[in-house]
Amino acid sequence: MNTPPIVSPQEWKAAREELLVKEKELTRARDALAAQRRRMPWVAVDKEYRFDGPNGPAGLLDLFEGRRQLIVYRFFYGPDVTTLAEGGAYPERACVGCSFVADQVAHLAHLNARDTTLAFVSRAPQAEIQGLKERMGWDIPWYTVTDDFDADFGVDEWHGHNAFIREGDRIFRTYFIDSRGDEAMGTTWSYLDMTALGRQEEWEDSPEGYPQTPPYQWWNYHDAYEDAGARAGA
Amino acid sequence: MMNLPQVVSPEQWQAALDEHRAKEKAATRARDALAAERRRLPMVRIDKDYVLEGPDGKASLLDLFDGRRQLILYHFMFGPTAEAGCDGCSMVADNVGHLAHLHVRDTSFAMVSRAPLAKIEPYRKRMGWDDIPWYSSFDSDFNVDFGVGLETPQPDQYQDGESFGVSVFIRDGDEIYRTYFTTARGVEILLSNFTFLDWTPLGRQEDWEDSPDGYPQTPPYSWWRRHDEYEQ
Repeated sequence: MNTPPIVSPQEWKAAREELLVKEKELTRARDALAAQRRRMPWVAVDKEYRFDGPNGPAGLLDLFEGRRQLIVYRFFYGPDVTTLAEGGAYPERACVGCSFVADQVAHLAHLNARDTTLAFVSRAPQAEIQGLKERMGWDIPWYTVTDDFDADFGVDEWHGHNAFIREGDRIFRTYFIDSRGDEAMGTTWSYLDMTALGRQEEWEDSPEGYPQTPPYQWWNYHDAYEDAGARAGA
Repeated sequence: MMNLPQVVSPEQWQAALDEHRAKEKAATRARDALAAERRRLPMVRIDKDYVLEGPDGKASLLDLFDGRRQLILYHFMFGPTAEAGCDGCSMVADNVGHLAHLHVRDTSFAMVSRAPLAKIEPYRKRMGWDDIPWYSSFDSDFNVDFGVGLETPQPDQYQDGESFGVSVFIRDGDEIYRTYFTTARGVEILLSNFTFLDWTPLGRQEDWEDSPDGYPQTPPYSWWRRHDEYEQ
């Protein structure tokens, strides 16, 4: 591969500072987008939804766990899910991309401290969900969808995050983000974007000869990668 | 009492979301373009030999690559005289995902702090970061050279005056190059709890934010705690 020029610390600092101006612009643009999100209109959720949770049946209000705000991620796990990595099968495995997302959910105490709950929902029954969480080491509140919740909130066919707020017992849907918008939650993508080689995916605009493979295909379950390059392994 | 935004029909909401979505996509593309520029930044050869200390004994910067091609290094603020690591850096560490997904892209992740290993190890155990390699740069020029530490630690300052950031390295055989560094708000994209809050109607609930009147807000940097120090 053609490496970028190797320069003195002073020259590197000058180049880095030039890029920093653009990075700050993007940070401000992100702040402005978030400010607009806070001004999105709300939709009242009038329909009653029923989930199964670790402690039995639950309504959408229960998913808030008493907090003011709720973010719900549709995680694809169930007998009909086809987005598994090669060789994977239900109920041992869930959607590989959703598993990649779950691996990047941080300690929830920091979200909870801002009166906000994160919950995952899937079609699989609770017994299977509890087993999956245990095998993969995920400590995320996780519910089984039993009705039209997924179709009504645009997550019956693909992943996505829905944001809700409540005023007492009244629930409002405030925001929905999916597709590449979901990537913003993932620190693996953010870290790779900081590296010299990037995500190493072939859609990326990189200097010639950089290692690249197709997107979505290199993902695997965190316990299923072959990590040949390393001494210690994952 | 906060002023609620307008409550509308699902159709009107969808129209507002679609309009907003065009801007979200533009931000994603802008992020991609910045990352492409980052891949073209020049790099600096690291000529000095640093001796760090990890759980398995002395380690060089090359050892931190753990055999992989790239190394992402988080400069975690933990002053030599402090009893616990910085709370903000602890939130960053709480947001590190399962490292298998970085490793498979030939990229290692490690943290380095100036506190001695005898302070790092119990704190790591307390916080449950068993899977993150964490090294001490005590008695080394490492933090000063990489711009995250004072020549002489100042015990009267928070974390003895240490600061934080992310350095990124690549190696060609045994030659090591530093390609990137970011700090301050540049680190926020590594905090998924901020991203999630940015998706919510109340936002981060910090008083610098441009929010509708009456929204709950407190000063930034003051509400977060180590994850086991929040009041339930």
